This record gives sequence, structure tokens and C-alpha cells, in this order.
Amino acid sequence: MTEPLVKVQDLQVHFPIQVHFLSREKPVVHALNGVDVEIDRGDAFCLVGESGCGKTTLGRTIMGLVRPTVGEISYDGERISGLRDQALLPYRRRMQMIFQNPYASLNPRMTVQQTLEEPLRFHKSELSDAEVREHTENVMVSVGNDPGWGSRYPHEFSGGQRQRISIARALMVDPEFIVADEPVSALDVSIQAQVLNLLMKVRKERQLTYLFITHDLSVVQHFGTRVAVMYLGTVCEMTTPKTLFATPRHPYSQLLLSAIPKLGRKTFVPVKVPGEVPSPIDLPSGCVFHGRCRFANERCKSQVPELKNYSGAQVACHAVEEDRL
Amino acid sequence: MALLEVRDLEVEFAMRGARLKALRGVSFDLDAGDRLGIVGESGAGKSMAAYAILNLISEPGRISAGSIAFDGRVLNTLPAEEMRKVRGDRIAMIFQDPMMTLNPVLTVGAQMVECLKTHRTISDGEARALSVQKLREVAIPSPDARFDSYPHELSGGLRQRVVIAIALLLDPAVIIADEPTTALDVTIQAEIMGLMLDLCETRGVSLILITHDIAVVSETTQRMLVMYAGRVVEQGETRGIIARPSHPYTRGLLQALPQRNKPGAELNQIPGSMPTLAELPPGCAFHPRCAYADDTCSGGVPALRTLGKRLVACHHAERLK
Ligand SMILES: Nc1ncnc2c1ncn2[C@@H]1O[C@H](COP(=O)(O)OP(=O)(O)OP(=O)(O)O)[C@@H](O)[C@H]1O
Ligand SMILES: Nc1ncnc2c1ncn2[C@@H]1O[C@H](COP(=O)(O)OP(=O)(O)OP(=O)(O)O)[C@@H](O)[C@H]1O
Ligand code: SF4
Ligand SMILES: [Mg+2]
Ligand SMILES: [Mg+2]
Repeated sequence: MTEPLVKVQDLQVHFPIQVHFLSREKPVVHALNGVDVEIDRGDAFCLVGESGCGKTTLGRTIMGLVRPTVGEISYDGERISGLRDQALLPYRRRMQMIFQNPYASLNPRMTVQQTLEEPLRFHKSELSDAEVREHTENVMVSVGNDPGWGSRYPHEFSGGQRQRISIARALMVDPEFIVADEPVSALDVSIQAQVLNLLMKVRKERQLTYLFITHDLSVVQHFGTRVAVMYLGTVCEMTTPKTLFATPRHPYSQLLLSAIPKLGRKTFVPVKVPGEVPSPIDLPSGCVFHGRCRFANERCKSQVPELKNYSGAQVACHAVEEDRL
Repeated sequence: MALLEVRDLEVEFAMRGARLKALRGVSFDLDAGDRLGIVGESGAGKSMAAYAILNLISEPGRISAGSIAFDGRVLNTLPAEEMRKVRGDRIAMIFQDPMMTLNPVLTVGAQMVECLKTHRTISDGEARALSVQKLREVAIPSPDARFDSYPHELSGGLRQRVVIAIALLLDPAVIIADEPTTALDVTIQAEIMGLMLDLCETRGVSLILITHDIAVVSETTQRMLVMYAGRVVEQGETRGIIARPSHPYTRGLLQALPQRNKPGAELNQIPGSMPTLAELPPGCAFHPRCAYADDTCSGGVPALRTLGKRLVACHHAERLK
């Protein structure tokens, strides 16, 4: 087997948070609690899971924007976690990130043209002005943008239009790995189709690898080659989208799939999840999902389940291991 | 008379000497308990319509025609002070960008308490208790601790839920929700939509839901508007429109859904892209991208006309049957 492009080992990220200044507590948010993930070259690796479970944090840590509390990250066989900015520089061009919030990720004082040219002038300073302009125009057209937008500023665009500008910016420097954080959730489905088609095309043509964070499971099913389901800072299931949709094994995966809204379903089916919402500030003992799980027993309350192999999937669940589902 | 009546709403932007119409002729009624979905091309004017209803269009834009009446009062001519009272209190808006609501230098709790104290006579203790309760209702873990969090300490979805909690704080009669659940996973989305539907059914709250998620619109709304390039192109019962769209744009939209395509295959997409407002094509704005287009389409703007139980703005809508 060849080396995975991205390898995440036992990653933990904790954020200290503020509380009332009179309080003596020093709470931390356990955003990631021992995540192991391998992303192969050419994968469209999808990350799904409860909002707040650490998906963005995982993406940002891989990109070197957040320091791991524990654990390490390798890229193309080299350890990159803990590298200094200077040593990280060569990786910065090879890895790009499309940020979750299209409102915050564009510099309001730069025109669209300046925003797009910036990474190119930084990483590929050998290009002539004409080449830069031509490249910008091609990328703009390829993501369905009007090249005439160049002279305008971010506030003149709708949410979806801004998202397409950030996608164009990520593609400007021909990266080999892209962390795409909810890249299509601000887009209407016809532009979503354009952007997904484009991302699939460049993946095939240039062997591009994606870490694709999304809440839209129909996109995962369509686009993904691998998928990891996360809950409260841990991976609970990792497999192919096909296997996940055919036979979700982890109780949280099952819950997630049951909540997918269905086109043409006439009524809204409320999802009833038992128990209190667990918190990354006050992490539950044992399995992080036990308080909401129908299958939880004493072992689940005390012992953290590890990711184990079952034909075609890795699952972290005692009930699956004990064949109680 | 309906609770909220929007008539021929038009919004204009003065840009580089030209006047651009970001919204042209949007009309609908909303009664207590009604749920209306708005979908459409990104940049079509959905958020603009929401801002216009709340009189939030600012320079260089303005409402150039039409009227908005709420509870018998015309909103678009209301003095700013009166409008501020309606906004937030009777009509609540959940903005697409959570940071439009959240102040980055204040904690979540400080903002909620301030909001309550502006509109109600309430003690600090009561305001805190009520705020924490609303945070719990929108499924925020450790609501007591989150009360003291700053917006940048929250994930995208937590921020979105805080904004929803703020919108629900004053028990509004109408909620305008602009992409309220895009940053949320489907289980929490289901919980929050369940909460909003419950408010509609038990307390007669009316909901305008702007979203790209057609499956959510299909499950939660009774009527819907489909927008393209600033206009409503199709309007009517949600179920009927999704089962059998009458406008070529709506049809293209539905065919682009991953659920309606083979996994891994190229997705059906509508050819081309939406024109910029400055360069709207003559006739039907959709005609350069439309498989049904002919000379009639480039010749004249199709009126929004009645077809069965629906309104459609297409010269050839009958052909889609
Ligand atoms: N800078 C920070 N300071 C404190 N807490 C943080 C910070 N960044 C993230 N967190 C917390 O870490 C947890 C994980 O956040 P993250 O943004 O990774 O979630 P996510 O899975 O991307 O969620 P979403 O789907 O809502 O975007 C959340 O509880 C969040 O509030
Ligand atoms: N301040 C502004 N100046 C000029 N044009 C603007 C301004 N704000 C918005 N627009 C334009 O008005 C149109 C409508 O924007 P709006 O935000 O309502 O779109 P939307 O339908 O909500 O799109 P999305 O689904 O992407 O959020 C867009 O074409 C946008 O470019
Ligand atoms: S009016 Fe013509 S161009 Fe416009 S949608 Fe109908 S058929 Fe297509
Ligand atoms: Mg996130
Ligand atoms: Mg919008």
C-alpha cells in the first residue's frame, strides 16, 4: 500500500474558554478527542457529523491553522504538525482551504480580482500580468462566475456568489489537497451541481484530494469516496458512502440517516432523540454518545469504544462489537 | 385581510450611474400559522425580499415600489422608531449571516439580556433564566456555560442556533428565517424545524423560510415562491410545484438535486449562469439558458399569470405538463 497523503494520529485539540471573571473554574472545550484518519491520494473524503463535533477544527488543524494539543499530522510522509511557519510555506501552496463562512472569509477591502490574484502573486511570482489575468478569468468561468465581477467588492455579492469566489481563490494556485468546509451549502442546487461537477472533474484530471465537510448527506452519497461520521470530537464510523447508506452501523449514523429530509415526503417527521445534549465542555465518560443512545449499557457509560474493523467499515461502538444491534 | 400582505414589492440599487432592479414585483399573503418557502438561484433576491419586508434596505438601495402591510399597518412608510419596535418584537428575522445579529465583542448572554430589556420590563435574573431556556430549546449543549461565550468561540452551527434563540426570545408573530439551518446537521435541523413548526401550529406563528434545501421546503411549507433574477417565476402549493414544476427554471433546479441523479455521475445542471442585474437579457431573463425558449421568449417579458392553482411567469408553461 502506498503512503496516505494525509495521516492524522491520535489528534486532540482543546480550547480554553472564558467564563465569568469571578469564577474559579478554567473550563476547556474538548473539540477533538483522539482522532485517527488517513486520506489517500485522489480521495473525496467526506466528514459529516453533529454541528459542533469538531469537523472545522479537524480541517483547520490539518491546514496548520490550529495547534494540536496532542497527536500529530503528516502530509505526504512528512510530519507537518509543529513545524514553524517558514518550514510550512512549501505546504501552503499544495494545501488550500475553502472556509465555511463566505461572509467572513473574503477581505472586504479587496476587489474580487485582487483577492484572486493574491495567492498567485505570492506562490507563483514568475507569472506575467497577462498570464495572471488569463488564469484568473479561466478559473472564474470554471466555477460559474462572471469574469466581469473582478472590479467589485465582496459586499456587493449574495452569500452564494461569495462562496463561488472563495472556491475560485482556492483553485488559483493548482493545489493538490483541498479542505472544503461546507463549500456548497450556501449555493442553490443548480449552482451546487455546477460546483460539484467541477470539483469532481478537477479531482479526476489532476488527482486532487479533498477533505470535504458537509451536512448534506445526498452530496456525500453522490460525491464521496470515503466518509467519516463524527460525534463530539471522535470518529464513530468510517467507511464508503455506499456502505454507510446501505448499512449504517453506529447508532449515531443510524440516527443521522433517519433524519435526512425527503423530497416529496408530505409531512415533517420530527426526530426524537432521548437524553440531554452532551457537551464538549463537560465530556461524558465512556462512549460520547451513550447519553443519547438506545443501546447503551454499563460498559458504554464507563469504557471508551475504539474504532474496530467490521467487513467494509470501521465502527467505534460496544453494541456493534457485542452484536447487540 | 391577511396578517402580512406584500404587494408588487420592488427594490432598486443605484450603481455606477445605473438603476438596477434587484427585486421586481414580489407579492404574497401570509396568515397566522402559514408557512411559506422561498427558493431560487443564488443572487435571485431572496434575502433582498426579506430585508425589504423589514425595511432594512440601505443606500444605495431603496424600496422603489410596492407596499408591505402587517396587521393592517403599512410598514414601508413607518417612521424608523416605530419600525424598530415591530422588528425583533412582532417580526423576527434570522439572518443568513449570523454575525449580522451577533456583536463580536459581547457575550451571547449579554446580547440576549439586552434584547429582552429593550423590549420588555424584566429583571436581570428573569432575563437570564429566559435566555438560558431559549438556548436549551434550540439544542445548545451546556446552555449555562454558553451564555457566557463570545461568538468566535462557537462553531458555525452553534452560532446559527444562538441567532435562532434570539429570534424566538420575544415570541414574534412572524419569523423570517434566511437559511436558518444550512450550518446544521440533519438531526439538529430536524429538531429546530420541529420547534418552529410547533410554534406555527400551536401558537399561530407564521414562517417565511428562505432556503436552498428543497427537501426541507417540501417537508415543512404549504406554499412556495421560486425566484430567478429578481422576479418570482413560479408561486403556489409546495407539494404540487415539487411534483410537477411548471416553469423551466424550477424544473432545472429539481433535476440538479443529487437525489435525482446517479451517484458519482455528472449532475444535471442548468447550462450557463444567471445574468448580472446590469445585463439582464431582453424578454424572459431565463431564455438564454432555457431549453423551451423561442423568439416569443426573447421578445417579451412573460407576465406572472394564473395556470391552474398556480402562478407562472413563462410563455410556454403549458408545454411542461
Ligand atoms: N477558538 C475557539 N475557542 C473556543 N472554542 C472553540 C473555538 N473554535 C471552536 N471551538 C469549539 O470547538 C467545538 C468544535 O467546533 P468546530 O467548529 O470544529 O465544529 P464543527 O463540527 O465544524 O461544527 P459546525 O458543523 O457547526 O460548523 C465547538 O464546541 C466549538 O464551540
Ligand atoms: N449592496 C449591494 N449593492 C449592489 N448589489 C447588491 C447589493 N447587495 C446585494 N446585491 C445584489 O442583489 C442581488 C440579490 O441579492 P440577495 O442577497 O437577495 O440574493 P439571494 O437570493 O439571497 O442569494 P443567496 O441565495 O446567494 O443568498 C444579487 O445579485 C446581489 O449581487
Ligand atoms: S418564457 Fe421562454 S425562455 Fe422563459 S422560461 Fe418560459 S420557455 Fe423558457
Ligand atoms: Mg464547522
Ligand atoms: Mg441570501
